[in-house]
Amino acid sequence: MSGKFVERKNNAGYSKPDGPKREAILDLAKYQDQQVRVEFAGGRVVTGILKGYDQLMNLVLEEVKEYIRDPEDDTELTDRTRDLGLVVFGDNVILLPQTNQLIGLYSIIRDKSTKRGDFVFYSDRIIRLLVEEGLNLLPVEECTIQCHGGNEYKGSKFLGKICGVSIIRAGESMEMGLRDCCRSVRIGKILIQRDEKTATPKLFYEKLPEDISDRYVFLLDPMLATGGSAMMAVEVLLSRGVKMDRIFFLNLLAAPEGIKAFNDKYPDVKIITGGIDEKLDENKYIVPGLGDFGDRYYCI
Amino acid sequence: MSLKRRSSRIGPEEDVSFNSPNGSSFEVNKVPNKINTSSRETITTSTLEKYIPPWSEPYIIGVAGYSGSGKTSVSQKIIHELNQPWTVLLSFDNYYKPLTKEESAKAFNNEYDFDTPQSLDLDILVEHLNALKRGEKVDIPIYSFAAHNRTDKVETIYGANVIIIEGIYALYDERLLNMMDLKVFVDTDLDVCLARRLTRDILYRGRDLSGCLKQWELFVKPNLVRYVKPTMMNADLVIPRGSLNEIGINLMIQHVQKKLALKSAIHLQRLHQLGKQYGLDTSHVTTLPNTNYLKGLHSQLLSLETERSDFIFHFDKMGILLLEMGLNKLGPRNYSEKQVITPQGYHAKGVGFEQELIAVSIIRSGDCFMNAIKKTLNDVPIGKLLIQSDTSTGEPQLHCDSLPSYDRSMNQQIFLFDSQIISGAQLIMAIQVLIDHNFHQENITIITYLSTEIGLKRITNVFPNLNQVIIGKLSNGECQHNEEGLKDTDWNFRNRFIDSLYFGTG
Repeated sequence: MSGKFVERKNNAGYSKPDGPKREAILDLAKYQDQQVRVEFAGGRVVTGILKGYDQLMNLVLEEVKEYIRDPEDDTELTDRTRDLGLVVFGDNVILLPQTNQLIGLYSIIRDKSTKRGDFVFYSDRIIRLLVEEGLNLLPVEECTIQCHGGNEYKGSKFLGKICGVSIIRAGESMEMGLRDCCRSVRIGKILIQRDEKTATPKLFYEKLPEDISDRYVFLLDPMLATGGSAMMAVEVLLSRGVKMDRIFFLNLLAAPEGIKAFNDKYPDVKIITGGIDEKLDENKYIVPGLGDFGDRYYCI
Repeated sequence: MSLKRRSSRIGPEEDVSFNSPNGSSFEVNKVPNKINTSSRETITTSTLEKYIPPWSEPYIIGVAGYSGSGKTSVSQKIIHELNQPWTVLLSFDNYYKPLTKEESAKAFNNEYDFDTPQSLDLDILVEHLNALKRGEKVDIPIYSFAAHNRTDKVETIYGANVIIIEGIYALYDERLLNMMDLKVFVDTDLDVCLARRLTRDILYRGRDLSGCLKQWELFVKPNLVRYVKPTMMNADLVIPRGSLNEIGINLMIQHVQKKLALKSAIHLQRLHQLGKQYGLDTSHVTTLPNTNYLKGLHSQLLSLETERSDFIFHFDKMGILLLEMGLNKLGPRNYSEKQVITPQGYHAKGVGFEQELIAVSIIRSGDCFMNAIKKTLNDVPIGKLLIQSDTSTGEPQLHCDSLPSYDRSMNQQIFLFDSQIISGAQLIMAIQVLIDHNFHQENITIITYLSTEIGLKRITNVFPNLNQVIIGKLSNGECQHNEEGLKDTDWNFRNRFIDSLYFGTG
């Protein structure tokens, strides 16, 4: 499962240089919106249209086609391809396609003058997109479907079971979105709060499905700032036997610091986010951010 | 905006292929000359295929006769018997010229001559007929007989399959005569006419007996003899005894029905021809990518084993995905740069929406998207179109429309919903209606789940400038669009099963 759509970035070949200045060796600007061919360290080869990139060589490609490798010999490519749609290649970070429409939605929820009704409505819309992106990463198995008129359809069905785990309180706002896509999904809860004395997150409460170790887990928390509480939640999940590469962390907005911290500690957890902001400020708020999501969603 | 009802007739919603009524290649050779030439013109003048909606070639019947001869009863009988959606009755009564002050005073003294051809605004009537043929909306003035003037009100009509022009001078004007397909003169004895006229004017139009008689003697009768009687020579058919003459009327209606059947056959055949001439241009077509998630969703929706509650649930998801894709395909001019201030006081660069979105659903198939629309666009105005296919022929017929109004000052983007494209005929008609209501083709996005290649081809060939056509799954016609081997001829692509399942009507 791991790396089916999301490739770990390699340090060989073209990648970030050493030294304090993090500059890309390659200037990708001239390839923007053009067809590019990317070869990965593991031998995979894809082609696609370059829609976005950053200096860390995270790439956003559209209309991606992967060349299928010879099953006998991994290093041999065949002529056959498969469509992957829009994919972000990077450190297990999946960024939703940054379309005008999505950026427009973010402009609404970032705006402090947005009324709560609109904030909830448009956040829910983004959350749905995140959940669907996550569901798209689950493994499937091919199967033949009997259609109404008697013909057949070579479709697929999902393998494995999922469950949601929300971090109380803000994470609960994302449960609706998950339920909208998977009606009877099990949802566990974790309460983590900051210990005022030590300024570190502390686990207060957890209630998770018994068989969580067999499941793919959608960890729900709308903001990834420092990643402190989410990392503690991952720790809880791991201690319950969940495999690291089966955890998908869904959030609306992430700070680069948080992504990095997460990636360093849990390299196989996939982060699915709708936006990556500039940085954290001295109070550990995301800049520019959108305020306290829980407060705005629950109106306090 | 009120839902304008066009006809009481509601047929079932099957939209299958076009079967000509007799199953044979229909009598195209007997097409009236007029239609033949106009279609030839469109093919030579335009390199692209063109859809000719039925309302651009309405069947026009003129009904003339003496005042009180029973023209209106005959016209109403025709409407009733034809039972066609979009039959419009244009009465000359609505086209009296507005009177000047002096004339008005005369009129109240029953000294004004209402019964000469000069008192009628025939120019406007001709203009209105031409506008209706062009598919434009027309405001018919409403005349008040009590006030002897036009009222502020107008009746808006749009397009028509059959137009009945009724009035004493219906067969008088050369221009009108040239447009008419059938000219009828209702001939009733003048004594009977006077009796009917007195009853009507006194009981329903608030006049008094002496005034009415004065008018009859002074103006009505002389004009009838001088101007109206000769127009009988222009008629194809004279019906003596007016509405009492049932056999005569029935014969006429049979003739009209035959002509209309021929007209539908031509309409169908033209629709059928569309899409044959050119290939499929996919530059404005987006099909959802074949990702694992979507494959799973298609499997659920197409499977025989999916329960209805699951089907509804999954279709709502599909609807949202299709709509989100449609929104993503809006061009850059729908967005503007915008800066917002976050609650922490930071400035965030973003974009603002520069469009007014309008959703238009084709009843009932498009209504399956209502949940998706509400979950994605909470305050969007929703228009509706009822287009039904005739059960016996499969000809699409527009029954009613209720659309938000076009606003020139705004960038209105229209999303037109229909869960399936089978023959494409319904959507072609729906798009034509939108264009007739002044919406721009470039601002229309079609959202549909299943589409056949031939249906899509017809639509994109007739309307090459649509903003986008968003499709969930396109079946294979001549080209290979999906690797799963779904074909145009598959049951799922030939039957409107989505709305039946969604609304549970089997």
